[in-house]
Amino acid sequence: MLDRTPSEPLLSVDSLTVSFRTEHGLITAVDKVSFAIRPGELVSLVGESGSGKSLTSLAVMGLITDPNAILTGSIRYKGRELVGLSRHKLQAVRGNEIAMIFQDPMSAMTPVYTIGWQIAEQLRAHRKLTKKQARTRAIELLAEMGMPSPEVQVDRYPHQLSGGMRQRAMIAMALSCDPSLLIADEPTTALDVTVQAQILRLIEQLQRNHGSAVILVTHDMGVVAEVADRVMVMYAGRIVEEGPKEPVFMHPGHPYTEGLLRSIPPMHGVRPHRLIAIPGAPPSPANRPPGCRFSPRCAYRYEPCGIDPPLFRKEQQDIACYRAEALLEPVGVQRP
Amino acid sequence: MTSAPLIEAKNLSMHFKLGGRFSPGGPQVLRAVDDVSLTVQRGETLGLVGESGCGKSTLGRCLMRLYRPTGGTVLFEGRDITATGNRALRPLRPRMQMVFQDPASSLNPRRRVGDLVAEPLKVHPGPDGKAHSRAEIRARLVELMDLVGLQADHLDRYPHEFSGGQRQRIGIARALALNPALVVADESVSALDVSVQAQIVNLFMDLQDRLGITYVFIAHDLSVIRQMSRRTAVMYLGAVVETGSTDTIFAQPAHPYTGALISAVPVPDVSGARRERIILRGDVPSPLKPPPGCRFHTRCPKAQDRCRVEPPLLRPMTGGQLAACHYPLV
Amino acid sequence: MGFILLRRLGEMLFVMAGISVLVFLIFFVTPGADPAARIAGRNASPEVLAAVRHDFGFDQPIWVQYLLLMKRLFITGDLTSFVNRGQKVIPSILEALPITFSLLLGAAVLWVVVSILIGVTAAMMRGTWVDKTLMVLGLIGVSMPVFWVGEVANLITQSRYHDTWLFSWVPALGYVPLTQDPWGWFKALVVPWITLAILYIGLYGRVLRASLVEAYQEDFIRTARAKGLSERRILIRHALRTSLVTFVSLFGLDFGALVGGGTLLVEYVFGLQGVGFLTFNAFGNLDLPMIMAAVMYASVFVVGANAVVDILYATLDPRVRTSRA
Repeated sequence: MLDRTPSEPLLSVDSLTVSFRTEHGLITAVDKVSFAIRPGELVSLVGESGSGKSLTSLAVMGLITDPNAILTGSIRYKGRELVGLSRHKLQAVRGNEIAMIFQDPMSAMTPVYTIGWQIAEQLRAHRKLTKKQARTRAIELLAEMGMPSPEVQVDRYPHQLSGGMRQRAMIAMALSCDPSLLIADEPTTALDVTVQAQILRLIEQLQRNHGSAVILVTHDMGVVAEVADRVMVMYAGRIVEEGPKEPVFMHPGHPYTEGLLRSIPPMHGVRPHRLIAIPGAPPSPANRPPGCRFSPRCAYRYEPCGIDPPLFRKEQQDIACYRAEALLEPVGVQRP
Repeated sequence: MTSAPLIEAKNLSMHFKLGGRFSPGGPQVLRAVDDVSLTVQRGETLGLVGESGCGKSTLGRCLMRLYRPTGGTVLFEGRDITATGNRALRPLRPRMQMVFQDPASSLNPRRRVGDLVAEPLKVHPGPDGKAHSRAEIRARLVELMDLVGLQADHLDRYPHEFSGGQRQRIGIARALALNPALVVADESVSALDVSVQAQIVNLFMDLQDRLGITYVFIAHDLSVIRQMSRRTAVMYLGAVVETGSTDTIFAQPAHPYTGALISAVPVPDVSGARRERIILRGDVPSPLKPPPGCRFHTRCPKAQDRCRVEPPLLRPMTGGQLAACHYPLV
Repeated sequence: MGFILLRRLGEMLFVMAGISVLVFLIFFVTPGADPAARIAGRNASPEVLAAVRHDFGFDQPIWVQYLLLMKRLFITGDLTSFVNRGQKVIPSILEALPITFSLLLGAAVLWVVVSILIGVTAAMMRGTWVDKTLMVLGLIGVSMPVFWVGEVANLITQSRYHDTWLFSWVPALGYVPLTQDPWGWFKALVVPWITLAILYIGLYGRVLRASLVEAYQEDFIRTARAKGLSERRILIRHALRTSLVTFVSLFGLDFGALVGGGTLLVEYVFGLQGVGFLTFNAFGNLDLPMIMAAVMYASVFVVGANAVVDILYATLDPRVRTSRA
């Protein structure tokens, strides 16, 4: 287990908002999201489609390039503000200090270059290495990722590898410059379950060995339970619950977290006759309900839910729900 | 009531030829389904599970006779339909329907939901042999919408106005329009968000309770298979490696592949000790060149010399299931 | 690789045989194409006509005539024109070849360089007025008939403004061999090069812009940014490199078609006696041997260009390479 003594956060995101100008007016996809990542911890950002989890991670990397996107708030990495940083300075951070891996390594790698070439390219962008040194390092990295005969694989093209091997190459590339923070956006979603298990184990090992902090973006509560230290649950553009994995899974504070956990068919024990599903569907960013965004689907809904709930602190969990209010003190600022 | 199975496959094979005579390396044969036998009783659900490329979808399509199998037989209600032509299959089509993975791409976006669901009713005559009247169709549509948990006024809308879960309900309504005996559901809940997936799984189960439909439920998600089906068949590289009661297979898998598959599923459970995991080496081999002997031996933690040479046959295990393994786990 | 080449060669022979039979048959069913009448000249007596028929073998069965023609074209190589008696067909084509190549090579260099500049600039400044202006100009370039552009260019440089300082250097229409006078060769071809290139600059500029814009939507561009690469490197090494596949295959096909005689209009307008010009005249005179030779020559280049494109395609896109191996 990791040391939980409070330390200077590696990354602190404050009131991050991402909106898009569209024909139908301004649509806010990520809405005043705040969180902090400490060095070396593995935090999972979990949510369903349209929750804004992927956009949040792209925003941290400065990868939202849509000219119609508006990004406000603050993203501080090692105390340095990344929002509004010049392109040139941002390039020195990306891939070097913060690295990212994506869901589908097939489309995320340039098809016309070998994986060794692509890893060497990143190394040489941030380190003073000769081509030969970069290649040697690429082979070492591939070996570390558990790739068999890396000196052969280094010269293969992405399409010549299996899905699992491609994702290993992608991770090798991301870790090539020893980043302090790795953002993994659904890294195992496109993989088969037996290969997913291999990749999850690899990410765990690497986090331990390299000491990088990891933000694991996923929709799969099983994956979260398997590897995360801490969980942030997103729903409709907001973080609705945040806390260490154990309490969040054992005593989920937000009705959405609870519903999400309950709707998964069990792998062991009694098989329920019916699953406990959450009624309705997650709202699209364009039609989010007022007040608590989850209230139309919530079984515990009552009057105050028409107004946005602030985050309440319950021991180690932060919960955006009035149900917690009776017992708890609000933390943070009331949302307008 | 006879105990004849609703649908039965005997030594079913589906081999695809790839590449022509003149392509370098000559023609190759992709053994998508290789000598598979299974039966599905009336009113039950058979779960077909396996990783990508294991042939589960191809098997489903062979059962539906969307493909013409290259070997073996398919019996539907005791009748051999392996080589039946399209015209002769037509009267059987209403009895067997399919629900696909992506509701968005299987529904024509330019047509109203009512037209989409009514289509099978317009194409096929009623049980009395006469075409359905407009009034009959309308009444049936309202009934179907109620059955799948949608409202009658949804009939006048277009597919894009619905969420993913609702679109899958529309797909189900269309499959049910002609009161099929068999529904083959191919990854029908895989594209849905977890919270919505549970609704659709429930819907499938409710419909079975109410209408006695028989399902062949194809999925890669083991937890969904466990929830949906009483019997399960696990496929690997075109062959069934283990089949039997779902409870037995999940509690006491006999085939090392089944064991690894089940142990690899991440479970949202943080209480108690972490389960022992079997992490398989490597990836699934190409179905163009399946390994000799047992197909699984290249990744199997228990493989021995015999497994590299002699292909194991399905045989009864102590738990009551059938498994194709020389050195089973139980 | 050897296998692919062999297959390509077989395909080429098959295509050429098919085309030659087709050309041959069309020729014989064309009204007024009777070669004997043309050879014998106007008002020839029936006896003379019959003699010509016999001399040239026109009284033999049609398939014998075909085989004879093929034999003289490919094996003995002494096929002569029906119209200009004694003019050997193969040397005429070989003579015309350098002219067509000179015209084409210069134009190709011009259109590749300029269209890459235009495509990249437009894609980088997507949505701005620069992009829109360039794309409209490209569309205009594509829409203008080459023939008309050539005539206008001649009008300006040869007569209207020829005496101004701007165009006084433009020589009279016609070809100057490179070996004789390189500077003269260049001056004679500048205007034809530009004329021929305009269409392709418009076309290629637009195609490249579209495929660059598409490439920029790809996940691997996002990865390249996540790796911390410079925008310049992302453009050249990732976006442009992957867009090149479309560009190069288009180029190969167009080049093949142009060598094969597609430069006809430009050659005609500028009085360059290249292969296109030769073909044009042969059709005008209904000169079967010349037509046949020109068509065979063209099909070699068109089919050959296809083969080259395929090989280039495999070199540029490793995914194609392995699926064939």
